[in-house]
Formats: sequence, structure tokens, C-alpha cells
Amino acid sequence: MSFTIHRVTQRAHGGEPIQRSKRVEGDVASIGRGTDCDIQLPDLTIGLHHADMRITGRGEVAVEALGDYTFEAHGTVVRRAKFRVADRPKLVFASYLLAFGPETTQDEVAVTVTHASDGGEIADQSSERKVFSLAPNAFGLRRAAWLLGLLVLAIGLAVPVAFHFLNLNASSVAPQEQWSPGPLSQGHSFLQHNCEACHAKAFHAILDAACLACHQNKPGAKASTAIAVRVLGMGSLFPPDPAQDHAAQNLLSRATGGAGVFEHPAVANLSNFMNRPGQRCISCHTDHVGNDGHRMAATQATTAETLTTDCTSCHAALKSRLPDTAVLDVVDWGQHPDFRLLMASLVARGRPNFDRDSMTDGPFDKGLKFSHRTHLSPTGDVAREALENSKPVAPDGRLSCSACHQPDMEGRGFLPIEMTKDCSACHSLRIRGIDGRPDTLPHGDIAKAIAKMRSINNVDGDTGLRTTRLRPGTSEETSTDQSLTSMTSTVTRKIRALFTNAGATKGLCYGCHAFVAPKDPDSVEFKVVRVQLTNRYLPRSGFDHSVPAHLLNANGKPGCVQCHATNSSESLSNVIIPGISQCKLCHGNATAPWGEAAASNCTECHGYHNTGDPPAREIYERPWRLPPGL
Amino acid sequence: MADRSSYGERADIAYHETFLLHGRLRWMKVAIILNVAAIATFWWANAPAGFRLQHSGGTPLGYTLGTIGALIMVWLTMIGIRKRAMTSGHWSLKAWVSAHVYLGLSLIVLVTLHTGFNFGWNIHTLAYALMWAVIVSGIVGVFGYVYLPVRLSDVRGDMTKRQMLEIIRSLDGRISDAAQPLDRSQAAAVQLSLDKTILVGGLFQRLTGLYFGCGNRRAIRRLRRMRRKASDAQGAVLDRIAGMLARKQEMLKKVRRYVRVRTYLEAWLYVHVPMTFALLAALTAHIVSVFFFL
Repeated sequence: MSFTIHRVTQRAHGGEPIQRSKRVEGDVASIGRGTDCDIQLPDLTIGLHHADMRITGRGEVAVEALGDYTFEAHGTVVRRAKFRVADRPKLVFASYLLAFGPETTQDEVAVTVTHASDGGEIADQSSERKVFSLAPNAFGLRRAAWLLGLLVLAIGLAVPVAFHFLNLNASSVAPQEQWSPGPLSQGHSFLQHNCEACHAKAFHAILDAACLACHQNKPGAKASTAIAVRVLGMGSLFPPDPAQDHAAQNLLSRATGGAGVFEHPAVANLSNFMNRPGQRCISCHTDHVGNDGHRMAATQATTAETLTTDCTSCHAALKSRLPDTAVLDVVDWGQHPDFRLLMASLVARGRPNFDRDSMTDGPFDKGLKFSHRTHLSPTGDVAREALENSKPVAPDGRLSCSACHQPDMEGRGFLPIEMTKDCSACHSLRIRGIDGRPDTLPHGDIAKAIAKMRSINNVDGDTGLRTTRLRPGTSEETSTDQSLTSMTSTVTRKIRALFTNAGATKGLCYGCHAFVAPKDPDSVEFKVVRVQLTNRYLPRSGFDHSVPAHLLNANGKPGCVQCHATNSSESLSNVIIPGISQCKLCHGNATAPWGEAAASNCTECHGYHNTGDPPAREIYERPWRLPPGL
Repeated sequence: MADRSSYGERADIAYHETFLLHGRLRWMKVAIILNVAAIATFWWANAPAGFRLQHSGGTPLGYTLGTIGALIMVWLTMIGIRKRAMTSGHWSLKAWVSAHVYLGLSLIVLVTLHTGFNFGWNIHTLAYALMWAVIVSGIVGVFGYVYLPVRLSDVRGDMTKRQMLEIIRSLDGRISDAAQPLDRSQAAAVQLSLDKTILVGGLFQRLTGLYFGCGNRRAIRRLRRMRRKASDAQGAVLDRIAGMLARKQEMLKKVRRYVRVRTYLEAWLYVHVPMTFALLAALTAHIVSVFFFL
């Protein structure tokens, strides 16, 4: 019995494989790496003496690995295997394949040994490229580029556009938001996920209609409620502020016309062509920049542009473009025209009416006999009475301004002067009443004052008025009218004395008011000259009394009289609103005593939509207080 | 010079001029002039307004800067097509690459002014960030092209790439032959070098040169320990193998150094090109979106 071992070796560069055969006599042959083995397999994972194969019968072979060595037979790892040669089994020893088969005689077994990984060439062309170049090892450059580009295009463009045109705005995902250049202003933040609320039409700029849909000016009560309901329904926390335009649209477009290249008509036409017309709400109200760009409050006060350039681009030469305008040209703060008082009448419930734009010279305030000079004299009756009535007084003993002028709730100016509140502490309307007890005349209505006088004097027994009963269906007034004819001359004299400069009551009313006396010397039909007090002389500016520096004099001490020339004001018609020169002592004056010029921007005093509401002004929530001693 | 070049001779035969220095820095001058003009105009347009730069990309100057920037970007990508076509002179590939580099760098100023320094988490800033990714990877590429080719031949010495690999392969064969008489555990150690050697590795290993767990190093260490316990006959074999493993290690280092340089030369493109495509896509989305929601 013997084994015939055929060794097949592949040629290095291809071609017919080399086959060498040798015969091993006996029924046992050894397999291993060692040179003494019958089948030598030069693979380091194979043991020096790995296994023995034995012919166990006619055409039968058993292979048994030594120690804990193994080999593969029929696809499984085994330590021994027994098989018939006629089945042509194959055994795998590491990288070597042993194929068994019958030889010419039945006692012989043929074993063909081949090396499984023969013919490998590390340094061939493809592996060399793989070693030295990155390309075969990394992702495909071109494919990656296209994939990435298309991905960005799909997510960044296709999806948002699809959402817009498919009207998928209400869904929880808003891919258009990635287009948002920044957060909306606080007031508009509820629209953050609702792009189409303002961007109504694709490729068209936001027109004023979109803004006015909510910010319509003077919409009327019904429409106002409807707007409020709609806006609150969209998620806003408060209803929108109506926007008053700076001037009529046609005036605005006539008045504008800048000098720079970018204001050139060609550029303007280009803007129109690009669906971005100028002179729109959003020309100024740029949103998507948080609270910075929303020109509402003090947020814009620091940049020079809005403050000066924006305004003067129209107002520097307004007269040339709008010859009929009443507004004077302003080039800059240095050449700002002096103030012209815009007078307003106190028409109803203390609210000034500014409808009339009359810009004329005084006299303005009418109807009261009042002298600031007398009232603010450190000596004399007023100062004495102030002490007696424990009214606030200034350090020099004069009556304090705050005794009569009360700060308003908005924190900028003063409440309208009211006699009962601001004057009556000194200017008492007390009279001797019934039985000599003190009584007070009512203020503000002559008829009531006369009635009071009559009733007091009637009880005194001077007249028989009290005995006249009122009949059903007749009013007190008519009965008074009737009774007037039966008044005694004493009562008439007393009443007349109230309104004239002579008599027992020393002209209680006459002291302050002017009256039109009746022609009939027995009549008491006096008519008061209507009192007309202006509460805000410069409604188109937003002068702020509460600014601490505005309450100081040149020495840094509190002093209203620094600006208001009270000493020279002998009568009410003598308005003591200071001129612009007073403002210029600090504003824009680098040589001010404190060495620093106060701001001289337009927006320091003026607003755009409401000229009297400067954006530089702080928003007040509480009434302000006058410091003591003013 | 130009005449000579038109007859097919090398115009720059006298000296070699890199693309960075091409045409006496012509394109660098163009880029600087462009940037200075942009900064001056930006200053002129915005200084009186106190640099209120919100939405400044939508002002006439912003549109101008944006248009110039976008046109430059599109032109810069054309180098991918241009490099496959041959021309000479002012429009040689060298001139084109020079312009590509300097105009690409000029975008840093032009586009940053266009942004008005407004950034956020949106498609617009994405485009800007992608531009930076492209530019920075491009700068890496330029430095690579200027400094690395010299190192490449230094590392290789007088060997070809194929020779380096052939040496390793033949060492493997000789190591395998020499290891045949070794016992099982010793043979397993040598097998580590034959099977588990990391020739150059993946991208990370190529770039960092860190080859932890390389089979050859492990084989060297393991055989060193075995050498102490080995018999004299085995010791002689092990010494021979250790010597060959050390030589293999030397050659591996050489190949890896070479490949590392090569990888640096190629890797930047793997950022530069895909980011360019992403940038063009984001740029398109940026332009369309700003006009879509004007």
C-alpha cells in the first residue's frame, strides 16, 4: 500500500502549473510543516507534525490530527476524518488543499496538494494604486459632491418652496424658517412660524397693505375690534398699535429725493423692477433682526443715520420740493429754526385739541389774571401764604413750582392746571355761610355760585326767597329766574361784588377771572371770560421734563427758572416757553460747562410716526416726581 | 516669450514659476484691489449711517457685493472643467490656478461684507460657512502643493513606489521560508507579521501615522520575548527572522511616510470638492429664498 503525492505549484507569472509527484510507501503518511513530513506544507499556521493519514482498508483512509491541531473536512473543522477515496474527498490544511482520489491500483491512494492563495501579487498595478492613492480607499469624490449638493438643494430650497405652494403652512414643521435671516422683533415674534402672514406673495416684496392689515390707522371701533380679535387669535399677546403715517403718501414721495448714488432714479427703477419699491413701511421697519431693527423705542437712538441723515434727507430742503409746506427747512441741529408754539385749546375734559395747525404768535393763554413773577417772588403775600398753608417752598422762600404744577402720568410733562387742585389752597372760595358758619362757593359754574349766594343770604332773612315753594313741573332754574326779579338789592350787591373789583367780598372771583358785566346795574348775569390754557406748547417735540438734567440749572442745582423766565412773566399771555437757544446750551454744545455735548439728534426730540414721541425717549410706566425744592 | 511659446517651446524655460507667483502676482494684485475697493465702498456707504448693517445684504451695495461674490464662486468651480482642457499664455492652467487661488481668497472679504456681519442658524449662514470650508480646505491644498511634492521625493529616495512594495513582499516570502522550522507558538508570532501587518491603513492612519496593533510590530515584540526561552538552534532562526522583521518595519515606515504625504496632497480635495458642490447648492437656495420672500 502506498500514497502517491502530486504537488501542484502555480507559476509566478501565470502559465501551466508545475506538477511534481512522489510515492510514499506504507499505509501511514505524515502531514506537517516540518521537512521530515511526507506531505510538507510550508504554512506557519500548520504544525511541524500536524496530522497522520492512514490507509485503513481497501480504498478507505483515516486522517487524524496530532495534539490539538485541526483541519477542515466537508466544510467543518475536525480533528479526525475517515472517508472512502472513491468519494474524492478534499481536506483543507490552512492554505493548502489536499484532494484524495484513487490511483491506478486499488492499493494506492493519490493525494493532490495545491496552495490555495497561489498567484497573489502584492505589487500589481491595482494594489499599488490602492496603497499609494487615497481615491480607491475613500468615498467616491464626484458622487459625494453631487449627493451633498443635491441634498442641500432639496432641503434648503425644494422643500420650503413645496411647502409654500402646497399651502402646508399650518403644519408643525416649517421648513421656510431656515430662510429666516434672524428672529423677529418681540412684537412680531408670534409670527415666527407664519412666514406667509407678511410674505404673502412669492417674489414680491412686502407691501404696506400687509402691514396695514393689522396696523391700520384710525380703523374705527368695529374694524379695530375685528383686527384685535384676529391678531390675538394669531397668537399675539396684545392688539397691534395703529400706525399714523408721517405725512400723506404723495407728500412723502414728493419730499424724498436723496443725493447718493443709491437714491438715483435708475436705482429706484431697478428696485421697482426687482419688486422692491421704496417708501414702504419695511423701508424702515426691517424685521428679522430681533429687537434691533424694529424702530420702536430707544433701540435705534445710538446710530447717527436715523437720527440725522434720514430726517434731513427730506427736511434739509423740504421747501424746494414742497413749496406749500408750513414746515421750515432744517439742515442740522445748529441751524434748527427757533420754536414756534403750536397752540392747542383745552376743549373738553382736559384733553387738548391739536386739530388746528395754527402757527401764529401770541397772546396764547387767556382768561386768567395770573403772574408767574408775583407767584414766584421770594417776598410778598404769595411767599407768606405759602408758608401759612404749608405749601412747598423753594430754598429762597418763594413758592415752589411743584405747588401748582403736578407731574403727569406719562412721565414727560405736567397735568393740566385745575383750580380746585392747584390754586384753591391759597385762592380759597370760602365765604361766610348760614349763621356765620364757613362755607365754600362752588368753582366752575357761575349759576351755581350765584344760587349758593342766594340760598345763604335768604336764610339770613334778607329775602323771602325761601318761602316761595317750587311747584310741580317747574325747575329750580326757572324759579330762580323768576325770583331774580324779586331779589333784594342787598343780595344783588353781594353777588355783583364777587365779579367786580369792589364790595364786601373783595371780588372773590374777580381776583383771578375776567367777567363781562351785564348792562343792567341790578342784573347778576355776569359772563366769565373763557379760560384757555395750553397744556403742551410744542406738541411736535417730545421734550421730557423728567430727564434729570432738564431739571437742573447751570450750577447743577434744581431750577425750573433756568429755562422758564418766570421773573419776566407778568401776565398769562406772556408765555415762558424757552427758545431753542436754551436747549443749545447743552445739546450739541461741546463747550458746555460739564465738558460734554448732550445729544443733538433729531430723534432726541422728534418721532417719525408721531413727531411728539421721540424714539430716544424711555418708555415710562409710572408718573415721575419733581425733586423737592423746585 | 509669448512668440516662442506659440511655436511649442516652453515659455518659462529659464525658470520655474509657481502658480502663486505667476505673472508677478498679477491675480494677487487684482484680488487686493477688489477687496480694498469693496472695503472702501462699504465704508463710504455705511459710515454716515453709523454702520447699521442689518439686512445690509439687501442694500444696493449688498446686492453688488453678493452678485460679484456669486459670479466669482461660479467661475472658481469652472476650474474643474478648465483643468481638463489645455491652453497656454495668459490663460494657461497656471494662470487660471493663480486666479483661482487669489480670487477665491478675495471672497473672504467680499462675502463677509455682503453678510453685513449678520449670522444665524439659517440657509444664508450655511452658505457662508460652506464657503469658509471650501476656502480653508483650498488653503490647505495650496500649502500642500507648495511644500509637499519636495518631501514626497525626499521620502521615496531613489526607490520607486513599486520597488518599496516589492521589498516588503520579498521580505514576507523570506520570513515565511525562514520560519518553517519554528514551533507552533513561534510560528504564530511570525504569522502576525505576515497576516496582520497594516501596510498603510485607512484615512485616519494615513493622516496620523498611528499604526497601533500593526502585526509586524507585534511579531517583533513577541519574538523578542520568545528569544530568551528559545533553544540555541531555534535562537539562530529567530535572530534571522527578527532581522528581517526589523527591515520590514523600516520599509513599512518609509512607505507610510510617503503615503502620508500623498494623502495630505489628496485629502483636502475630499473636503474642497464636495463642499464646493454643497456651497453652490446653498448659494442657489440663498439667492432664490431672498427673492422668494422679499
